[in-house]
Amino acid sequence: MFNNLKIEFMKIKRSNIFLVATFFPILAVIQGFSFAKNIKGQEEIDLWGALFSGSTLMYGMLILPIFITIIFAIITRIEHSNNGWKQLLSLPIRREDVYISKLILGCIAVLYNLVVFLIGILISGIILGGKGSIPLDIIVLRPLLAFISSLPIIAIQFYISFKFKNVGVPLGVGAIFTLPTILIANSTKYWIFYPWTYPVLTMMPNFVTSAEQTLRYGIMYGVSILSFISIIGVGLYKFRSKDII
Amino acid sequence: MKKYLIETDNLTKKFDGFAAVNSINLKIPQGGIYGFLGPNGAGKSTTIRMLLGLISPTEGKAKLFDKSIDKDRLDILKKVGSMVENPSYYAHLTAYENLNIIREILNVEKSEIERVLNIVGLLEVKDKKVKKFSMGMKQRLGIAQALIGNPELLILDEPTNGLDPAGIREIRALIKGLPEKLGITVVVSSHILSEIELMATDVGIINKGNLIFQGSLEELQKRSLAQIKIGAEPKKEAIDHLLKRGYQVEERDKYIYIKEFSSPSILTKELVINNFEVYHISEDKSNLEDIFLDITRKENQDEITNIN
Repeated sequence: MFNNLKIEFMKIKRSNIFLVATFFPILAVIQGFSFAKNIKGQEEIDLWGALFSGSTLMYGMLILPIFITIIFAIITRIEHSNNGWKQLLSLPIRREDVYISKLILGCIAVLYNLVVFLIGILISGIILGGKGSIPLDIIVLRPLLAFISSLPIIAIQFYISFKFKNVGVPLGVGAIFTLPTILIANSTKYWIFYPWTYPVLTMMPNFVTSAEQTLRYGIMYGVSILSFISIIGVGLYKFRSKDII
Repeated sequence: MKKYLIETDNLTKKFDGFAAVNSINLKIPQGGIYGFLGPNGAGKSTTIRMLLGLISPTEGKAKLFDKSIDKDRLDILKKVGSMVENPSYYAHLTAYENLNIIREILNVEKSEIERVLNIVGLLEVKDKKVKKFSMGMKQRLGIAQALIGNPELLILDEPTNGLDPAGIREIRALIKGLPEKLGITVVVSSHILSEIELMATDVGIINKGNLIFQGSLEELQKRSLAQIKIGAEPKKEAIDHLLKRGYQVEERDKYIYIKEFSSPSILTKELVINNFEVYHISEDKSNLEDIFLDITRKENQDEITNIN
């Protein structure tokens, strides 16, 4: 498996995946940074909180889901274009290994993206001179939890990117489902039915206000993991017996 | 008994009920070059994909190295190099990097890359991105990809597609040398008969999903001897005359065809002496299409006789 992952890394050389993964979260951090800087003069300000929520809104709602969309489209496009599948799969390599190693590569890129984001927040906070101890439980833990709540988006985009040869399909689906997030995330009732709201709501620290909402968060993580396993499972099952035309 | 490297048993692939490959029994001997011949869309690529486990047959089985492709796919593919239809490559990577990926999967020595680049003559451009390659160079890269790891069986689907005449000659020479030099069995598909004639030791012809001929090249050549095409007047009498003389005569669109080998000069003399007006005489080498027509016509006739 390690060898297969290494092969996937060899393929993405010069594809700018990690450049994109670095650049995207920095955009969000810059926004949070300027937001926090503007209100810095006021007293009784929780600088870390302002910085984090200022960055998170755009990051969780837009940048992360779009990044996931792009990353899996690129990873599968490498094979879709120039007949890569038939070449790859007529070599002595298991189809499930190809599938899983591409998934792991994408997940590594998403995690890397989240880590760049949280490191960006930490550096910005230190530059702005945030007082008191750094709230690591929010700044470090929330983005990592957001990885779990991104799993449904990852699974859906991976599935679609694998299935459709035309890169426009996964990109279009990703964009169309990401855009209404801001509306649905505002609904305390319906967000749970819309996985695109999960990352931003995981990261917005003040959202959990009632016991009912706490329960919903529990359900969200459950839904995230279960839907990930089932979508990936179905995709793998289909890919194993797919005719490579 | 002769040893077959590839054997298929009623191999069939249907797409929405339409049989792209219809119950074919390939017998591909070890150590030669098997020419897999057929017009575009005849089912060559579909068959090759089934041999490689890329698509699963609707019915029937394929065995390579005496192993079934659906059970021992990985074991078989370790010994097979292939290029199916157009070459596949990662365009944003160099030739070397492309081959290195395959080398990594096959787990063979790094020196293999240089060896195969040298064979196909791409050593000097190994660090060039493949998207900047010409069609012919991509084709060569595809063959290099198939050769890496020194496979026992090489399956090349239309390997000379898109090459210029010089390139075609080079690739042909390369393929011809493989069985002797490296002990590789080669399966090469093409829609051009002359291409196959120049390389193959054995031939299989597929048309509309059916394997209509399989045998050695000599056997095929016997069936596709040159024929004499004659235009003579009055035609009907000329045919009667030739028949009386014991020739095998066939009449097709205004012309008379003599099937078995005969000399055009003797035939002309024969007709002219007997006061026929000869306005056309030529030697027709049958092309692939004629052989197809010929073989399928015979098949149809056989069917009719069987019914009777």
